Amino acid sequence: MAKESGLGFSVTVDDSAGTGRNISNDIKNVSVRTPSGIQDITGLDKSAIERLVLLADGEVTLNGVFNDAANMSHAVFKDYRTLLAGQVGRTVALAHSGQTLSMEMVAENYDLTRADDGSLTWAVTLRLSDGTVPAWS
Amino acid sequence: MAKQSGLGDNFYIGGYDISGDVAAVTTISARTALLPLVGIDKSAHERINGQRDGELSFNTWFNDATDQEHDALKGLVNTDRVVMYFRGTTLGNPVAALIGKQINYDWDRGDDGSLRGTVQCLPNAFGLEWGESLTAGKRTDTGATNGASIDYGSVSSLFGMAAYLEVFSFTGTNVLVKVQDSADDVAFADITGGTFATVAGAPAQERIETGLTATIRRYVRVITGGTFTNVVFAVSFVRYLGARDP
Repeated sequence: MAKESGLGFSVTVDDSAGTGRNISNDIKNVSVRTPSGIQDITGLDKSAIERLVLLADGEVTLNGVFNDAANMSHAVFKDYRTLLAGQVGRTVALAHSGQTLSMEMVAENYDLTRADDGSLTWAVTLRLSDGTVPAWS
Repeated sequence: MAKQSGLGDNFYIGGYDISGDVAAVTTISARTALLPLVGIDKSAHERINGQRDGELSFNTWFNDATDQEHDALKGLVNTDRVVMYFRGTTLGNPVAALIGKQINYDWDRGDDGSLRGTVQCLPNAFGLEWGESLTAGKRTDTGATNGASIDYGSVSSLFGMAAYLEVFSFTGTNVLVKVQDSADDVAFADITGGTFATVAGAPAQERIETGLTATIRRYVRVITGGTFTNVVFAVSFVRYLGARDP
């Protein structure tokens, strides 16, 4: 392929029963972060920085429009703290142009804003929960 | 339903309906602290849920008419208040509710003469909880009434419930508001722990919850009983779908 836009990006998030729900149509924008900690290990004998990669992390921020239809964003996030028994997070699967990134994550919020103009929007931030290094496939 | 705006929403606090005065609900937040617990055998972060929290904050226009926003908010009481945001006023619609503290009552008088208030409400002990309305916005009963039910589908839940009540006006001696459930939408029974304390005047407010292993059946409704000629109230119902931290 060549350089691409983000059109056609999809986001699927487990609901509280562990079933993946494609809520792409509710989402206005998504940001995906897969940073790693960095340790400066520069020795006295070096003139340039030496580094090691430490703990990996994953963060997904979703911004969307309120939708309380069955299996859409409100149904998925209204009880964001509830996990399927035995699980340490919810599966968040991102897909674009045949590339996928899937992480087990916990949400730290489900925030809504009802603005003066009548719009009702939401934001959710999810963070890696299971210690697995995020990897695109 | 589908993607929606927030037109037609309602906002209640401490037994006052201030929907007509609220300009915007700037924060409807359910949030949790995340606790790191990374083992040395892992190459990436591990986390679990910590304490629940939340917030309902709003902007308001100034209105000092009887039982409007100034009456509702000026007192800055130290006790807990039930605060509810109704996404529309259709039975079964989403409701965000908390019981907690009104933190402030702040005003900005602009150069242009405008007067706009800012109020923040933070929960005390239970965070902000999303549920469904058991009343179509505010409900008016003129005697004992069995309200219409909402249908949660064929599977009972096994983790109990919570409910929030605000009473806006009352005429009579007393009213008892109860939450009931049913398997067939015909034979209803009181949910143990789902009865609010007797109300003898307005405004009134309360949060209740059952044991966290209680079975809640498919159909849920709210009923009123007692000796009264008029009561106006609203109820939000939270059906827990998984084990909830105490």
